[in-house]
Amino acid sequence: MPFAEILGHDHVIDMLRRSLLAGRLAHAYIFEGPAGTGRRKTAIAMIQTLFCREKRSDACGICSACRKVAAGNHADIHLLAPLPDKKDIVIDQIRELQYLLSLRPYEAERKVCLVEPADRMNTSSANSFLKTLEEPPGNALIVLLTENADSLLPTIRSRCQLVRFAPLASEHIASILLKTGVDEVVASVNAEMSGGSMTRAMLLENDGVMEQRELLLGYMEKFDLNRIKTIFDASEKLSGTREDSLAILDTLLSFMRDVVLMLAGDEGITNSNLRGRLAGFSRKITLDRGVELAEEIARTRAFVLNNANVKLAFDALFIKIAGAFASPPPLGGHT
Amino acid sequence: MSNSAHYEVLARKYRPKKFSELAGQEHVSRTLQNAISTGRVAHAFLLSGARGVGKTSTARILARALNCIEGVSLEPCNACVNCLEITNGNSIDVFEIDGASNNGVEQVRDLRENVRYLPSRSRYKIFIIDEVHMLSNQAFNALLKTLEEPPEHVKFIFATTEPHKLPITILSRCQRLDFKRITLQKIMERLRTIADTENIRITDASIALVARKGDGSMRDSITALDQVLAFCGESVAEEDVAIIIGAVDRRLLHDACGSIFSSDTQGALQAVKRVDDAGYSMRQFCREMIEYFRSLLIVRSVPHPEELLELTDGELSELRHQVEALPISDLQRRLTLLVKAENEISHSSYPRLVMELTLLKCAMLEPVIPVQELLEKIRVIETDSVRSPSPPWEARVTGKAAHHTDAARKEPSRPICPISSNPRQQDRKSNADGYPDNEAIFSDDLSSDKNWKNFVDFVSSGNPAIASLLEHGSLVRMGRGDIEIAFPAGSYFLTSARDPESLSLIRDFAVRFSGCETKITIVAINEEMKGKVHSLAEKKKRDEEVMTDAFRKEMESHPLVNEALRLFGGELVEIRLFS
Repeated sequence: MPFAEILGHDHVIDMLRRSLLAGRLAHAYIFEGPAGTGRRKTAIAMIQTLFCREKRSDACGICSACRKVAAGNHADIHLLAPLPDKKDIVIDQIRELQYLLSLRPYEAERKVCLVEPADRMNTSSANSFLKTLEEPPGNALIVLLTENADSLLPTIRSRCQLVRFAPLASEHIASILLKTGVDEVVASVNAEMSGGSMTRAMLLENDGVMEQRELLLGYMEKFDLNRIKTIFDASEKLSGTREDSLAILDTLLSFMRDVVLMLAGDEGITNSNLRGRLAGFSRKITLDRGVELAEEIARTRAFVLNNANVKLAFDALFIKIAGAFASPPPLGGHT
Repeated sequence: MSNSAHYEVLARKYRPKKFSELAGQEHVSRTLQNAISTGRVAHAFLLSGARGVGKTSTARILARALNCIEGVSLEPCNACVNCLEITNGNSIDVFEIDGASNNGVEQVRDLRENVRYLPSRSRYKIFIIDEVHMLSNQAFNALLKTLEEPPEHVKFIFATTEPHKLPITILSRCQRLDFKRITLQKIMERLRTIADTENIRITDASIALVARKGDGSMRDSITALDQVLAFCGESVAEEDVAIIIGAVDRRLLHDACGSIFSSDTQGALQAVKRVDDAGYSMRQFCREMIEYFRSLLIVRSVPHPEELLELTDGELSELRHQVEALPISDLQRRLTLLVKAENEISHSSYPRLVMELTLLKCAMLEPVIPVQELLEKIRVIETDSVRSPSPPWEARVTGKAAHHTDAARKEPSRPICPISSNPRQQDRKSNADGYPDNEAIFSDDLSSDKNWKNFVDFVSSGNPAIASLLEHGSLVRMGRGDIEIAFPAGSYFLTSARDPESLSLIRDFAVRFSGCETKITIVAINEEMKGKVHSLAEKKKRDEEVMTDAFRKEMESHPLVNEALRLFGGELVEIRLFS
């Protein structure tokens, strides 16, 4: 996929194309950004342009080199990823890479190495990569992909040019979703919910997210501390597998964020189609209580991520939420 | 397209080639040059310091200075065959080893084998081991003997960012040179030199921005410069620089802080939105906010902030203007919130939400009242409570508080709070003084009870064991020369009281107490007596219950406690008395 086909990231692509044109491409890059924002696509476009026989500022996409890169069978591209049965990229893989890079390239002018995800290198492999990264043999180009550059060693970061990929604009995501045949309302809500990640937007789409949100909001409106069944019913119905529960918590968090935003006087809420019902919640609590609840949800999310008992976690969280919305806002509270 | 041309990044192209080019590490170059000129070059050096401060460069310079064909000299010539070979990394007598990849004992064995042979055409065989902290323990230990007494023709140079990972036995065999962080001034000078050599037009302000990005590391700064050049080409526009290196606009930070200080929640959220729209990373924004708050704090706390902050006069006066009249403690609390958020952001999948919540919390922070001030207020209330009409909740406790205040006068350092005083202690104290204060509250119908209690206290001063025995007995009759005590039938106390020895002891005490011959009768409690007589121990227990109950009631209705419960959303679980 040439640069021209990548949505967004104008700055990044502009910078890379200028470097390619001026022949000032560095030997090591870190592409940092949330998953699903197009880091890998951009890296591929960069490699295609570098290898393309046409030698323009963008890949032609039709020459043999371009097609090989796109198909992932170019002989001079080395992919470094954790082995299927391992958690980390291990030192032996780095040693092998060092050997491969020391060989002459087969068909291109230089070899390219793509490390993804770079933060999966453990201490020994990251350290053993340092010398190679600083002065790669044979003019090789190394691209590290990561979601968080801070999780890399400072010594690694200092040897690479850091390229940041911002979350995709929601209109870009919405336009891609529309192309895949998603309903317009769903597309716009999902685009807002995705936090700028295409991957997440696609997942949302598959989950039948609208019904789920409707269900959750319905339960929330029925929460009543005096009828504890309403709470336990909700946690019984909503808690599922870890992934499902995390999705519920994400939705809940987006609701609570909207409530907090409305309380703080900000109109740019995510769930704009549910504005009226969410405003009902925002009238029942104060801003500081809302902030507390949002943090509570985030904390519960962390617990669930750490394998807490989902149902218990939901029980505790829902009771807190019910309690917060049950008591009228104290006088003199901060609004 | 000039793909084929090998572009060397600036950080590599402008690697220092002489000691004199080594920026900010004068102490190192001077030490090494003096060692060379006096012929006292150690056989093993350890170069340590943060990333990008010149460790590997120094190792290479030293290797060239030692092996230069021109002779061991203060500066390598960088022109002879040896120097060039070392620069290109293909000298046969200088081994630059990647310690992290070759970290096993096997590689060290190879090295030891190699050490034995004379250099092929240079003066010294030099082993540079970079990232030496990654060697395995066995590898380090295998190196020890060689490192301590290598042949004359061998020099070792180790470089590492983490010297604390080396075993102490290695450290003690090396001459250690610690590299410092490079000052902003030095980095800016170096960047200016590079820009001039490369024929690049760039303003001093942009250079400062790029240099700051490196945070004391020369390589980081030069990498940032490279990145700026990749985008801008020959002439660098100031506004591009901030975008490329992701530095957050100062204006935005200023506005965000302004919203926080004026409790403008909407403004705080707007700031986050602006950050997101501009494509900055939230983490970066959070960090810059922390840095900004730090500057504010420094400007607020010290008379000459310009000595601590690397800021222009305009920026300083802006900070001063923003921070005047703000309490330092409020700044510190907000700073703490931000520092916590920075940590959270790196784990969170919703950095924006974390930042929004944090800024909201910062904006909603209610001003603190210093503890000293609170204490002062309490002291005022306390001294005034006797004279001035007390608030309703105080009135209820005054009855009891009277002697609390009394006790407090004796120990002024103790805070005056009903919870903190021990009723049992007071009991004893006040009884000793002859003012049994709880008499009125816990009165008993037996008239001789007081005498009996005094008697037991009297015994307690002479023989505590007997006194505790008596405490479990109930007084039936106490008259002049006649005392009858009842114990629960079949109890241990009954048998021990009937023991002739204790009986005679009790009699002795009674004689001394009343001054006349006394008859002691010990009986077992029968059906008829049950419920009518109570031992002191029982009474004590009952008293305590009543006391705790009273305290509980008092605490439950205490407005301070209620307010605390409301604020923290807690509940009253247990009331404990602290002595």
